[in-house]
Amino acid sequence: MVETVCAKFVSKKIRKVRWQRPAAFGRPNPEYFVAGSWDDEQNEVSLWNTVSPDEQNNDPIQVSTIPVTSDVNDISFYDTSNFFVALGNGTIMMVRIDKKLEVVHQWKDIHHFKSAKAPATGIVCQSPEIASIGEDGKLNLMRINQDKPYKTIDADSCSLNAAVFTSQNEIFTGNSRGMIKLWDLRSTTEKPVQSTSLAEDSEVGVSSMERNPFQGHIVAVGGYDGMLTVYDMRKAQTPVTVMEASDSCLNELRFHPERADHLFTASESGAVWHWVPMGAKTAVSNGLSTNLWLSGDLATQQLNIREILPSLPLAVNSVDVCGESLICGGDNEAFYYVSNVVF
Amino acid sequence: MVSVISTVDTGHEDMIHDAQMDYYGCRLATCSSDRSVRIYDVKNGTQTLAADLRGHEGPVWQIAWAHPKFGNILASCSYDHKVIIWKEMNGQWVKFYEYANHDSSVNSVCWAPHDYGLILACGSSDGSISILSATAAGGWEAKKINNAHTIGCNAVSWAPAIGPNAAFDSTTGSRSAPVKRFVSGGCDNLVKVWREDKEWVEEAKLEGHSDWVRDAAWAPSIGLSRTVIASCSQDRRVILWTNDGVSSSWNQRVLHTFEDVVWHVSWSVTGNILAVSGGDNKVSLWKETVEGQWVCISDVNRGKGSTPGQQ
Amino acid sequence: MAGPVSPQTCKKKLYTISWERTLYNPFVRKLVNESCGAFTSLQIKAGTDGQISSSELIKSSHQYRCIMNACIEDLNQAADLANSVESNQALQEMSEIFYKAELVWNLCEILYLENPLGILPHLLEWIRIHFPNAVEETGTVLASPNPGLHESYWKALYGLVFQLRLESATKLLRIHPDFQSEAFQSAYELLKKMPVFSANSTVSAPEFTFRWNHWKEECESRTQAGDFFESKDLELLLEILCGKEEAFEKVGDHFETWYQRMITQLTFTQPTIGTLSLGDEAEQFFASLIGLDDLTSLDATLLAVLRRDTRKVIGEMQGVLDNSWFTAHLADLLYHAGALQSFEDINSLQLRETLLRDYSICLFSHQSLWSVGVLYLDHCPNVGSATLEHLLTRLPCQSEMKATKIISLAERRKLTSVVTSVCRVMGRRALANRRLGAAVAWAVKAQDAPLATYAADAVLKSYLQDSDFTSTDLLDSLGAGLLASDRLAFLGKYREFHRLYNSNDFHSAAGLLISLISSRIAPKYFWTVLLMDALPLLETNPPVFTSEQTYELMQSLQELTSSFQDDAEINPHPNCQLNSDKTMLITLALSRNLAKCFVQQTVCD
Repeated sequence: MVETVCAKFVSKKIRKVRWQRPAAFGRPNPEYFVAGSWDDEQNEVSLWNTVSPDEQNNDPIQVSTIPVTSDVNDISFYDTSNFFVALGNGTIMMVRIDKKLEVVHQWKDIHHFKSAKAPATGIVCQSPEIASIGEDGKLNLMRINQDKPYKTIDADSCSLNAAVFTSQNEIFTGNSRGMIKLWDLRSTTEKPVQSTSLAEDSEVGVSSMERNPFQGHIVAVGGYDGMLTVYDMRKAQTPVTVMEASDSCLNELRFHPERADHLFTASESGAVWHWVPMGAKTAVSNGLSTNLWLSGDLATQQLNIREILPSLPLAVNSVDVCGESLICGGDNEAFYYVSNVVF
Repeated sequence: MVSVISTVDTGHEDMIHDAQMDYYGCRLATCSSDRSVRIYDVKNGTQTLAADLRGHEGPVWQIAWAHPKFGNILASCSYDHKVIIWKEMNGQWVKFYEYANHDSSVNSVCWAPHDYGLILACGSSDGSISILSATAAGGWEAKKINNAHTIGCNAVSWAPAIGPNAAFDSTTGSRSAPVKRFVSGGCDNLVKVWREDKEWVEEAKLEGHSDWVRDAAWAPSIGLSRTVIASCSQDRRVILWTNDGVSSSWNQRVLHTFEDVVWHVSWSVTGNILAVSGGDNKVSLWKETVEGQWVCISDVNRGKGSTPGQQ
Repeated sequence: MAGPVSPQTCKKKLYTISWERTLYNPFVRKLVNESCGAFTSLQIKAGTDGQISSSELIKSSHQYRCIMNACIEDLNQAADLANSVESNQALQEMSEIFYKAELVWNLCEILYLENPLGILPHLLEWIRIHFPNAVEETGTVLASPNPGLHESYWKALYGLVFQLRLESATKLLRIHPDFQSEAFQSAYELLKKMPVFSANSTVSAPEFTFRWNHWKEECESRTQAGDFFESKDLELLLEILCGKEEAFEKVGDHFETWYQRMITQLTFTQPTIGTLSLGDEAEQFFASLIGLDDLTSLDATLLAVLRRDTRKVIGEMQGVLDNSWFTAHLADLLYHAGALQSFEDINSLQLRETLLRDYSICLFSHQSLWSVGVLYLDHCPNVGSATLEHLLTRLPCQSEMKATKIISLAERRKLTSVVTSVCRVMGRRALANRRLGAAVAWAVKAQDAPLATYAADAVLKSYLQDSDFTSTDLLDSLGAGLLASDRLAFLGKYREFHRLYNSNDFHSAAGLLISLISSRIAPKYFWTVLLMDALPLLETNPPVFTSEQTYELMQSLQELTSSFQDDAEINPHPNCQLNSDKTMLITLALSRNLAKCFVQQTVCD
């Protein structure tokens, strides 16, 4: 099968796209994805089907949509049918996919300033834990079926831009000035376990974070300056590998959920890159000792960069990959569905 | 094609004299003969009343929003001889400063470009113009140009801070401090350009109108050396004054002679469109064509493409 | 571009007005975004020197037309599904606008970009695309039970002949019940051998004209010989083939528009007509058929295109369409083709720039489409960056993410004033939200000393209130950022003093405290606090303050008690107020420390 790209203009700027992971094993390619829009009078979360009945046309079809009153800033799946949405008005929504989209719960205004709402900037899940971050610098911890966050940490004096669970009880957060902190959720104090700066002597904000799906101690961090920094959480004070992934803000980075040595990045300059490991097989057989992402300066020599799309005129805000299917979207009010991605 | 997208029922009890959108177009302020100033939040084409400011004891003629980097600040001027500067603090609008040093109605207020700090020019029927500046210590300091316009000053409008050619010179680093300028119009039929040179001095006297000058508006700079001022008058004309940025002379050109007195002229953010309102209750929008002709774009007869002036 | 107006007739009402709403329609938004991709890739291909091959330009032109056609299709579909008469009408009107735009664009593409030697085959192709009725009619006829006797049979046949769809025409002729008659056979033969001037034929124009004249003579002689006497319909067909004016009068109602008829007539009268005489021909034709008094904007535009009067084309199209999309993109394409002629004192670059700028400004009035607008201003060399500066600073930022995007756009274009302005406004927003750390961070990024001072003062105030610092994570990582203002620098140093003190490094702490006062970096309102901070250090034995340092403290205490505090606040915090108790306490501690210093010095000596 040939790699094919299908562009769909949707008349809303796309902020986030996420595949619904297929529930059944043996079906490598996903069928549905959800998308969230931003920067419009009326924003929305929408559900799309990529598998059309006639097999002829691979144009994704909108299945369901729910209007939201604010920017969608993040989307994160909790399990195969439930996902969370972080909104610009400080609310976290829980949405269920049951043929169509259905809002099942809302944590209203859990991010707020003294007398105004604060944008929620991110939502991450590590069942049963759910954590949200916001411009108010707060880290909220929630559980399904609980009306309120059970814990709120005043984690930062600046805006928190990205977060990732590095283990069941630990969260790594990054802020708009490049401060990176590690939090132990069991701790009774409001102090981070570790705190470090993304770039030594410049203030480069953190824009995105992602954990390697197989090796949880490997975390990739994207910066406003387009640099990709890899941390080994076992010694998180200093980054292990630093690579240039774009000349402008690295809006999102995603490891392939099964082929964890493949990375996908989307940038403010409109590029979507596929980081292809050279001789991937040997790296796997050699095990952890020569992990590609932890090989420092050598990493760049072991990776090929492939442009998934010819560079778009405006920012690509989000990319997600599942099986052999990729979806990405951004500020040119379009998303791009790539089927049969070549690995 | 111009279309009315929404109508705002302001709730004012008397005639509205001025309406101003804030810097981002997210808020609307209005003032009226009913002595009040009203502020509305504008979102998705609908307006909700956010504040009703009472403090003036006469009709409120004009209002002006300061740049948002100073917070939410609004200035108003009134027949009661006063200028009030309002500020939003913790969600409440309060009187921030009151200036009562004019002997007659204050007709016009205009904030200076934000680069200069918080500076307000006020034109009054007593013929003088006041320049109020916020000091570092949080107070206000006033300078006054007496006898700026005999019988009265009707309008003040600041020149953009970026001087001619600044867009090209900014890389060289040899940019001298920009000179503060504003234009005023008055009952002496004159339009005057003022320059700060330690004290305020009259830099140019523009003679062209044959009756009271009602409004004057300095066009935003878009990087060209040319600078433009629009003025309107009871003589039913709108005049465009241009300076090439090199010489000290101003070239005048009549935009159009209207059916009735012209009350106001206002430029769009990028200076490509001029809005004109007059005593005939009509508003028209004017745009310069590529050939340098000014044409009315608001009520052009689509079929023939002629301007209303020819009809 | 919305602006409030207040006519005095309705004293208490305001009207918000706007124009070019078409572009904001969700279907048209697709066109805006998609064509932006086509536009930027065209600029990249053209490069900085503007050199681009005509085949590339034609490709771009096709792309634009494709986008327009997709938009028309979307609008028509939506109109069919519309649930009210008004919205159906509005959608149809929009669809009409883009139909006209595409029609004119296609004609421009032929005349300006392809500019072939033999123009007519191209124009006929243009007619074929936009007037598919002949083919549709034929379909209806063929689908009927007895096509040969269908009431529209001849209309369909003429329609096919008008567009030189000769193969279909002969097929249709064959199914007529009288096909075997001599008249039909003769007409069939003539149709079959009609010479056709095609765009890519190898036959030269004179050669073609020779063959064509020969064929025409044969048509006329057969007609005169009475070959078609038995059938009026066939006779008319032959008159059409011979290009007889009277024949076209008879079938005048078969044409929907004058240009459709004109091009058909030319096909049968002057198939090799050159581009240069096209304009005059069209104008004469229009004048005699319709009359110049009934000229619509679309007619005027088409006539202008045929005359290759670019300026008029653009001027007229601004009138026909309710948006600047068409003129901006067409002017850009024609500019690259070198076809945007100069007139009077305005050069083609300026004209293109003005049109691109108008389009961009229009996009900037939309909540979301402003991002697209930025890309068009990038191609306005004279006023683009200054215009962008105005427009970018006026975008409201509902989130830091949007602010960051605007800053990044501005930084890439070296618009430093936009960066500073956005940072300042964000700093102000943070202050209003009592996010002091974030306010400091924005102030540092903006290099705005007054804002940094203001935010640092707020941090000091909250320290006095809570006896604890806020935003320590930020303050302790500011580094060089602390230099943004003296007050911020003081705040950083004061934090360091606390750190030294808490780690029991009293000597360094004392030294730092002295330098904070003596360098005058500490604001005067805070001196009392510093002197009180010195108290425990004054009580140590052996002393940490030297005698010189103690004198320094004494001097500052005296200055504080005797002088008027020029930066005094109206309601200072109690910790900042120097009352007689505190003065006593400090004076006592200072003199005791001085005594200790003397003792120590004497011992050393």
